[in-house]
Amino acid sequence: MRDMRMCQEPIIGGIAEWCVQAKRGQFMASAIEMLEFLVGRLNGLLLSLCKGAAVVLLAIMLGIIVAAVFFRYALSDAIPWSEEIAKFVMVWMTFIAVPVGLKLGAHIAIDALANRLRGRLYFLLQIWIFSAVIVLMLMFVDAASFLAWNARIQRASTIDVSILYVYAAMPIGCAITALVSFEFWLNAVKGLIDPSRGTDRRVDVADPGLIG
Amino acid sequence: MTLLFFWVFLGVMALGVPIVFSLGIAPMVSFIAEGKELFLKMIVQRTFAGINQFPLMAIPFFILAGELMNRGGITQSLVAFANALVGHLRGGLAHVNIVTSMLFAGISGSAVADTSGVGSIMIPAMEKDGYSRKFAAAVTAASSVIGPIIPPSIIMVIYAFMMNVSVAGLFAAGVVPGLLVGFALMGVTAIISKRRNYPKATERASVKRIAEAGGQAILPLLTPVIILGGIIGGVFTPTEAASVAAIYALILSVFILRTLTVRELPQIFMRAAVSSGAILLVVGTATAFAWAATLSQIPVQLSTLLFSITDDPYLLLFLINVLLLIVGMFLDAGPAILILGPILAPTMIGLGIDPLHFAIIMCVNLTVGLATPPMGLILFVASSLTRLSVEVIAKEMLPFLIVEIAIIFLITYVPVITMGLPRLLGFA
Repeated sequence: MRDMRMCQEPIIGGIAEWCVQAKRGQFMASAIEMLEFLVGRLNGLLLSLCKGAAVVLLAIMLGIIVAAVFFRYALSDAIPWSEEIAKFVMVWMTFIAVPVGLKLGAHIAIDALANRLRGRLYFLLQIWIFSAVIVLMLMFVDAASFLAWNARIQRASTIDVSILYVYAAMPIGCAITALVSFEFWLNAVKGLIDPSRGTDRRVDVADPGLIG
Repeated sequence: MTLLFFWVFLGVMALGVPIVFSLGIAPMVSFIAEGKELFLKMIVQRTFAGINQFPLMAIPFFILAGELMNRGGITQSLVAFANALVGHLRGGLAHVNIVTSMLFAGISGSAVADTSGVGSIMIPAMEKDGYSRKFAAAVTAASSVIGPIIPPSIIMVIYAFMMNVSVAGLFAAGVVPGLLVGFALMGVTAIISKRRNYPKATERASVKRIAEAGGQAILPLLTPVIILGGIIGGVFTPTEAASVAAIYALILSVFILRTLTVRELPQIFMRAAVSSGAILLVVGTATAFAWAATLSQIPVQLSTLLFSITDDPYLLLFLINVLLLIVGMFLDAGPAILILGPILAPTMIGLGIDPLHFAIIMCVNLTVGLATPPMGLILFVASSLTRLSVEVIAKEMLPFLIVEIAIIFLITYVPVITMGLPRLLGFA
């Protein structure tokens, strides 16, 4: 699977390799690997969209607030909608950034236990961690879509937009977070089956600047 | 409702689930265990409401400003200025490290940005100058604590939002305690440097050199003036001041100093968005957690418990400080404030402690908690910068930590340190 990325058409290459492995009888392991690969591809696409969107949203937010200050002082004409719209943009930015943060290790956790575990036990712990995150995120998706749908008749106070479009950030962001966790979960299951194939996520603060 | 959710929170967190998710899982599990499924949607609703707040927008802007300053080489000019000021003292670079942190604190609102920004420049420089790596890491970590005490400050924004205190008042109240921590750390450094015979610069920088270095740093150093002057003078709201600080840092590094290109900006914005997203979601889930805490009547129980021990405010403050120091060993400052603030503050304010004074006690205490093991973000970052273990850095930091804890108690019992400036400016 490792050299799969070198294939011209990775997805077809991946399926081909999976067939080879499946023939060898490593059915479970290779099925998981295949699934992990496909989820990984999907996540890669979603996360690059999220990253781009986060950049744009932060820039818009900054633009709105700076413009609001400028309009109030330089033109003596305050913009009535600036705070509310910027706030909505912030909600979107937050929920879009959460899955990216999970991928990049920006959400702090106590890793004292993980640091002491080796081999299968380590992957077992990873399975537990990502199961917990997946379950929580799915409950959030469920409750948040309910809230979003119920809020559809409510309008924002300064512009004529349904609050549904603000609430929608939460189920979408949480669903992507669940998908990213699922990719990690699959990887951990793979590691549980064969510890040499799972990814050790113990990077002691991969990118210190990212942690709030 | 019982304390179940609290134990679930501790257990889930200890088992390695990121704190932001543990804060959501705990109330979920306990509501399900108690058959109160209707409350589940409320958790999500509270999380959303906790994030959907205009005052919190200062957080992404302050983070963006700090990120721009770090990437744009502005930190470097602060180091040069600090070096001209205090490089000639024994243990020169250690003092430079602390003074840079104090200058940096006026621009950035986060301790971790301070550790990674100042540390990545100062730790290699100090090693080259003959300091041990662990001492360099310890000084960096200890002085990063100043970051969120001297305004601007992300945790003060969070506190102000949660407890309905004026951000401007909090910012004003943080100035003197922050400087005090800085000078006290310099005192400890002086003693250690003398004992270990650390190097110093061969000659004192001339007034001309100081003026030159100051000239290089003057534009970045105007940031705190814009932020504080703007907020205290009533020109902007804190969120607007943060946005102005971010746009100022952007213009400064891209157009005036030309240390950043426009092509580098998306990456910087992305990082700022991701770390803000992480903090804001913590604010959200911690809001939901704090709401669950209220339902469980912990606030009432805790204040009853505290009052049963004593009703002397000074003794209570002592107990609360000890409690916060313990909490700070295990919890990040943001969630700790969001969870404990609404529980502790009303009781203490009822006993006649000024809201601003109590806010600063809490913020300073929990910020020091960022540098205490086993769970201390500053230590984690210092450890990843130096490849030293958290334990080694923490041990080397001990004298600094003791002084910082002493200052917490000094601030607690000498209110004028905190309240002087806000009173002068009319906030209290």
